[in-house]
Amino acid sequence: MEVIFPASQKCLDENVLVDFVSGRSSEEGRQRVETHVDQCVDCRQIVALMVQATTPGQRPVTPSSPSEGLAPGTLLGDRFRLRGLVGRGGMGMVYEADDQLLRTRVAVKLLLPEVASAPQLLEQLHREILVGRRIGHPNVCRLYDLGKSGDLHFISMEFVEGETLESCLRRGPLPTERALEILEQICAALAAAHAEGVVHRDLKPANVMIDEQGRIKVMDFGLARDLHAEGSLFSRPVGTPAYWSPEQARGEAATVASDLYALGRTALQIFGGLHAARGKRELVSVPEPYRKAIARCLELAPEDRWPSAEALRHELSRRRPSWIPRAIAGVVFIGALGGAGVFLAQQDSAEHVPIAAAAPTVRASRPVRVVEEHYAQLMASSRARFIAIGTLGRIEQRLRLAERALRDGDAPGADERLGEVDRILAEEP
Amino acid sequence: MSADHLRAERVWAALDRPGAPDAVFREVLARAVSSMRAAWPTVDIPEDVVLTELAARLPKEPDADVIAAFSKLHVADLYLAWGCGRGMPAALAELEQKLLPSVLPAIARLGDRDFVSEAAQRLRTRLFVSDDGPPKISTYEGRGPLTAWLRATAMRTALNLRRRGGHDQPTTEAQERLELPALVGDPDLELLRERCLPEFRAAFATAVGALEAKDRNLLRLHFIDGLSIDDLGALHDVHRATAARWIASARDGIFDRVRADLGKRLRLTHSEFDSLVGAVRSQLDLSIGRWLRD
Repeated sequence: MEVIFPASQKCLDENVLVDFVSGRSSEEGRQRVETHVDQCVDCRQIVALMVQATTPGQRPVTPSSPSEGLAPGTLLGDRFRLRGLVGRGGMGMVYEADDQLLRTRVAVKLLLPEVASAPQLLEQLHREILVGRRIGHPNVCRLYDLGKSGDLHFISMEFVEGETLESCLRRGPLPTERALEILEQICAALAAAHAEGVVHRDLKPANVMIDEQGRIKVMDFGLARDLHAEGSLFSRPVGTPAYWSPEQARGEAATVASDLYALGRTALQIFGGLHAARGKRELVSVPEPYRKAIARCLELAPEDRWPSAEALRHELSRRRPSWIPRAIAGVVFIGALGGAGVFLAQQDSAEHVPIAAAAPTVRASRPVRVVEEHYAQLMASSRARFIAIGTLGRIEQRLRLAERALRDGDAPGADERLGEVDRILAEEP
Repeated sequence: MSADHLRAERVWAALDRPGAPDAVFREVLARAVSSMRAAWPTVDIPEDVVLTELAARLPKEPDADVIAAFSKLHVADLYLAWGCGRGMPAALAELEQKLLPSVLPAIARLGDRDFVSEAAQRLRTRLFVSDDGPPKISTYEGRGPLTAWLRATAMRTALNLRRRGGHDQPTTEAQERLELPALVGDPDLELLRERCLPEFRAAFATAVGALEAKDRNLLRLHFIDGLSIDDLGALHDVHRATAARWIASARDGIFDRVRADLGKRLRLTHSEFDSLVGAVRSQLDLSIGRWLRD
């Protein structure tokens, strides 16, 4: 049977499809749609999707292959109604979902079949979750439960709206103040977990979320698992090789000191960009006042590193110049730029310290205002919503460089960057 | 003359109708206009624009039932679409906040978060920015809910993006979909299968081709797109039992034709033929799924 693709043929107008799906087509119209849909994959898929979106009944869970993903609307364990896929992690896919029992938004991580079919691994995960749930800290993404629906196993956890530190860093390194804020918050998260006896084992930018207020949430505490640990050929240490501490690489158990090593690696990337994970020479990208502190995280011998995350946090905040104001009215919040096209112009007064402390801070000197104004103008313009995400990333990067140049007193350099921004904007349709 | 009268006269004139609009038309029009404004109080479209647009959505044929056509229009949705088509910030904001959140989940299964956010961005561009002529949102005709129309548009945008970006799912191996069902464990049958493959292909293709377009669509929507019997019932406005019967009869139709065709084409003993047909029957759904895949 021949299937003709729509390229040569004009697809059905959306109004016609709506008529068809809602039963308003004339007999002749129905014929026309049936004939077209018989030949056109796209239009058939659109029909299928519209039907599913309008018949809200419970969709059957199709556990045959979780790697194919579950449709929005799927109900897991009679409790979690999936909204959509938000990411793929090492252990499985992560969905945004509504917890219909507690009426709250959650993230649901579907475990890979390899994990779900190993009873010992599940038991171990369950224990970790019971312990992990005790960590109650604003910088730690809360774990709720291990659940089961048919053959599917899943972990429910706090839903964080935002992006990962990894995807933020993909647009380039962060300015010093913002980098320090993030590092201090990760330290706080680690300290809270370590106090409960939980070691992260797999800290890296991909496991750090930045929420819409710019606050850090470290995810997946203690959940890293060796999928092949159970008597298999591939026994290997847990975690991600690029962030392994020397002792982890030797196959020893991860400790508090290993988490601090991974934090050091992460810090190199925060200051130097994503490519900077390897090698101590990358320390040059860390500004002088903080270089020693970060270097101490990366010591080969665990006992030479910082004794605790709290100690490192204290050192970083001690070295942070006191003149950096915590909040400035009208600063446009950079972090929100990269997300899902959501833009947030923040108007914070000094009283709102929790949010203000999380927002990137800009020194209130006259030249820096120029950059702020650029942001503000760009965001206020009706065009902002039409600019591609990738382009926004390029613009944001140049504005950051301009900001840095201004702070270094390099006015021509800043001008050049701002000129680039104008050119990028002019190229946009 | 009252405002209601004036309004009705204007639309009446735009429709080239003789005489004056009656009280029913005046009433329907007045209600429509006030319900539009009540639905989107922040969106303020000038009255003459509203009347012109409305007239364009009503039938011009002299014998058409204007009142009936009018009462079927989703006027509040149209009002919002007109605002968006004119780039009114308040209308854009309402659509963004109130409608898109229920539209975008529809495309979530097509890709990961990055893909969906890029598709959403393209959807906005497609809806609100005109290449030449009016932007896409202006083509919404108000015959069904705007969210349904947006879903269709979103899905189309996402499918185009996926194809263009090479995000398309790998197509099923041509060989695989042409395969007879595997007859695992029986070497004699395996041999038979090898021998009969070309005939089986031909028979199946003929059987599927002989179906009505509607039946082929039913089978595809069910076996490939995963619509349930309830969904199919809703689509055709019939009871689920009827939809189930349609599926069963389309499937039986394929089977009967394949069997008859194989009988004609193959020279097999009775027992060979029965084994082969039995295997085909037992895995018919699987083969249909493979065969109909595009």
